[in-house]
Amino acid sequence: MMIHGTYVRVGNRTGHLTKFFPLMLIIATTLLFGCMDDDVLPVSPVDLFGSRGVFIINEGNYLYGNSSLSYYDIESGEVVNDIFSMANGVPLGDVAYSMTLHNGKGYIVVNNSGCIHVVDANTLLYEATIENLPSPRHMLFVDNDMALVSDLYARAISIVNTSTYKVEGTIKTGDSSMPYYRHSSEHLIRVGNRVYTNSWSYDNQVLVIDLGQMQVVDSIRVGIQPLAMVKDKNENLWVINDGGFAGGPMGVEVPSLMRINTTGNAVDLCLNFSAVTDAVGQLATNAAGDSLYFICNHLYAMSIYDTGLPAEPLIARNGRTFRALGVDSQTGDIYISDATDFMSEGKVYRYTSKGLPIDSIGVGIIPGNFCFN
Amino acid sequence: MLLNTVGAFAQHLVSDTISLEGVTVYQRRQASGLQAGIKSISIDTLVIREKQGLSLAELLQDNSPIFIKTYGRGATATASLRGTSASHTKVYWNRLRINSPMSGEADFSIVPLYFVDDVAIHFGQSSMSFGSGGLGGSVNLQSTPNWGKQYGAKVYQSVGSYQTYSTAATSTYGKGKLKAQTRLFREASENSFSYRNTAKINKPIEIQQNADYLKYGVLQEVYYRYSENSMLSAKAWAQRTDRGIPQLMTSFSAREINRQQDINLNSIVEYRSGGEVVSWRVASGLSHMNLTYDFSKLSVEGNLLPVLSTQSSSWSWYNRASMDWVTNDWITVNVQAEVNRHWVQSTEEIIGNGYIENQTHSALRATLMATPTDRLSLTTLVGEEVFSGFFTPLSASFSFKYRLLDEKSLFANGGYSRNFSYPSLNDLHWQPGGNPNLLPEDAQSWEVGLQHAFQYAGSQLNIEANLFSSHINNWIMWLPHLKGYWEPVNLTQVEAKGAEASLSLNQQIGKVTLKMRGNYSYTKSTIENAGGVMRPEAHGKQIPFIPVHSGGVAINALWRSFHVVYSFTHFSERYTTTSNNPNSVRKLYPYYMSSAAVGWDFALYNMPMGVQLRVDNIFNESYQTILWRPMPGRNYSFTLRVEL
Repeated sequence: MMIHGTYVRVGNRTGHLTKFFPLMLIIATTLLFGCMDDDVLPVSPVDLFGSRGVFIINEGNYLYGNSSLSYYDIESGEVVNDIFSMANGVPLGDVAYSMTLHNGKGYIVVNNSGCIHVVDANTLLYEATIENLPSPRHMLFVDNDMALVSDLYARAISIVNTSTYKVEGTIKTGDSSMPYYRHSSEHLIRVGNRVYTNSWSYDNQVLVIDLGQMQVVDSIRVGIQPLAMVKDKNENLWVINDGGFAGGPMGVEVPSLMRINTTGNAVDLCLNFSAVTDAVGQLATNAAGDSLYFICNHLYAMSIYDTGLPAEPLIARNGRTFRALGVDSQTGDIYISDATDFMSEGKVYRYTSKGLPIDSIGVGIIPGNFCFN
Repeated sequence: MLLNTVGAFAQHLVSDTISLEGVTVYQRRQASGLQAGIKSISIDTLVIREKQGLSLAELLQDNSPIFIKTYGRGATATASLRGTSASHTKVYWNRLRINSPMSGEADFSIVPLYFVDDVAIHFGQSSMSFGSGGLGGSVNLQSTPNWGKQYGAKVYQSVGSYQTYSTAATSTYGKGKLKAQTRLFREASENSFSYRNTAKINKPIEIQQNADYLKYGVLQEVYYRYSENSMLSAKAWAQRTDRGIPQLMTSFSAREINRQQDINLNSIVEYRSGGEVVSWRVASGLSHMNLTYDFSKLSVEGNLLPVLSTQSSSWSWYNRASMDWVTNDWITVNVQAEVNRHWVQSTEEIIGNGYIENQTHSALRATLMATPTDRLSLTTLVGEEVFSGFFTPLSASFSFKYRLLDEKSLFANGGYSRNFSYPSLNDLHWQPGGNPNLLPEDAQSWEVGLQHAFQYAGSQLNIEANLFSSHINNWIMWLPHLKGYWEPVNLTQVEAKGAEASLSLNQQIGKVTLKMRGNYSYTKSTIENAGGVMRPEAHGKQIPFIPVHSGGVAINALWRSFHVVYSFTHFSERYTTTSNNPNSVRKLYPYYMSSAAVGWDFALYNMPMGVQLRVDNIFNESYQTILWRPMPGRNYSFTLRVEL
């Protein structure tokens, strides 16, 4: 009857208007009850005890704070994404860059959050944060209580006390008198009592730090923008230079692969790629340290005794954007990531050392580094 | 009512428009190149007045279907219309384009409402009457003379949460033929609100750091009426904005200096002459923008470690002539010509990157408006543009509006257009990453709609519903490059389509005047074909940061000299990745926001005065509109207005 009554009133012109008023009120009050929930990261416990696997450090996008950590179980083939958030209920941060395991703890370097999160390596439970690092990249333990942290903008390497989680000093790598941020530091590789670091950003140097003096004692000129560096079985270093970009202040050159003889601290082999547009990436060695893998559009493999670049890739990119590269020291399997379009979740591909596919998994945004446990 | 029966020409910018609606009817001869039938809305001047002290970003967020993407309170805010990007919303101040020629975007947070009298939004193809590139549409701002008053001044003082102080004065003087108006404002805020930092372990309450801002500016207008039908006007707007850029909630680096400073100068001289048959408008304007951005970190020892120090400076000289010709009783022709020149320079001091460029942009547009019958109006627009020697293909727009029933105000409308957006100078030349091989974005769009206006005894109801669809080829998107910088690329095809509904009701209930407006938009903006720069997985997915559902309700009640305003805004979740991964870490949850204000106008010592108390975020929501950028909880502001 009420419905009928309403219809009767519709015939009346004033009825139209009185009908609209409740309609608007209904819309307004329905919408009022919305409530934003910004506390939505689900938490569930993690236990990696006894599992052998690889952490995938997903950079995420700069200033988006959407980096993440993935874990791939090498035996079961299982993957867990966002494992840090899952364990702790908080995001990992902005541009997670690398991860180092030491004495049962994981140290996750989060570049643009200016920190290193310290977690239990099995439960991923948060233990501490090493704060106030200007722009940290990689971490190298010098002994049980001290680690070095390379940095993009500090023009210094930070010395961190890993018992107190405090920055206790710096090793100066440059100063403001040098043009273009010189010298940044990236990979940290120890050879005897020296640590080598490649200065990638608008630079062309590999710096040599003496651990006794805790200062830079030598520098080696390499190609423009040395992107990555690894050590082979002879304790020599392989450096891949991205060649810069047109219009950049360092200029541009053909990307190259170089070997540094650490006895004389000099480049003793230089292999140029074919074009300035070649997109080079990370380097890795096998467990024996006698095979070298590198990304130049595709993935290539070569012996450390070769004197020329390989002609054919081991793994063709097939439309993928190769980013991170790692080799499992136990199986020799190759792990390579695809950053896709850099704006969506990437993938990780696992191959045998001969380049035969084993597995592929979906991970986080811009998978940038691997860390085997 | 006479005008109503003649047929409706589309929206026009007049200061006495009564409500947010698209069916306002205007004189036939004032059409001035505006198109029939295509959706345009203008914002109630009372709403603008009640929001004085806020920015254009806040006005549009609460009172229009435009999606405002803001980095925080007082921080940069850009606008997205109909599922397009920020550079597809063109902003005109007195018909002078104020989008940066470098980024193509406009920052809505730095436009003070003290300086604006009329705000109109032209959706999609209706923006083509003012210029190209508004694939989403345009926002048109006018500063207008108050001929009704010989001398007058208003002073505003606001005090708000987080040590926010805003002072403004507007004045009008002169009579007869000459009128001058001066407006000044200054707004400062510490903006140090507290928030629960959900990005950190134990979710501590933190105080927002380095989010302070200071804005001040002056607008001077002079109008000279030669005769009944001709006027010369000159307007100059100078403003400076100084802002801190806070860190993300995920940051653990306390040592940082991050600031942005904007200097904006806009000026325009216009001569208008109206005749029975031919009307003219000739204008010349100069616009300067200077944006400096400094970002340094501090070392453990406290030494400054510069990261970025950029300066982007542009000078633009705009020249425009427009003629309306009423050929006979039912056909009007509008012809517009533009010649603009931009000089831009971008420098980065630490690395030494940068670019210097200039660009000449010419355009010719012709519009034919016809009302062949009392029930039908038609518009056809054809335009051609040249950017430093590059001729864009011919742009065109066709639209109609048809009265469906004889006695009722029920209209059907529709249109089809082809519009281009030429890459911005940063898109083409930015170092590093600028891509000189970019193609202009090429949009083909259509829309259809129904409008119904119902009036009775001083009350009015307007209902409007639209469907729209745009196929945009060569959509420009910046994507990260392998070498670490970002590079703009053309995506082969993007589709932006959706539906819009709006409802507005003005009603008298006893002594209370009620104005209610509601709007809802459904927007699917998807990458249909990325042309090899993205994986097929991205195809068919919603473009990052564009909500599928958005809507709002605003209620305005006036009783004697008291007013109460309530507004509610909602956006559905927004993805931040091209894959639209539903994982909660990377999407923004739905947004629900309510604000309200109460005000009282009175007189003291014969001086009209007003007070208003405003409450934002009434329900004290803890939220973000960009990932890990905190927004303030419930906050208040109190404003006193004195008229002299």
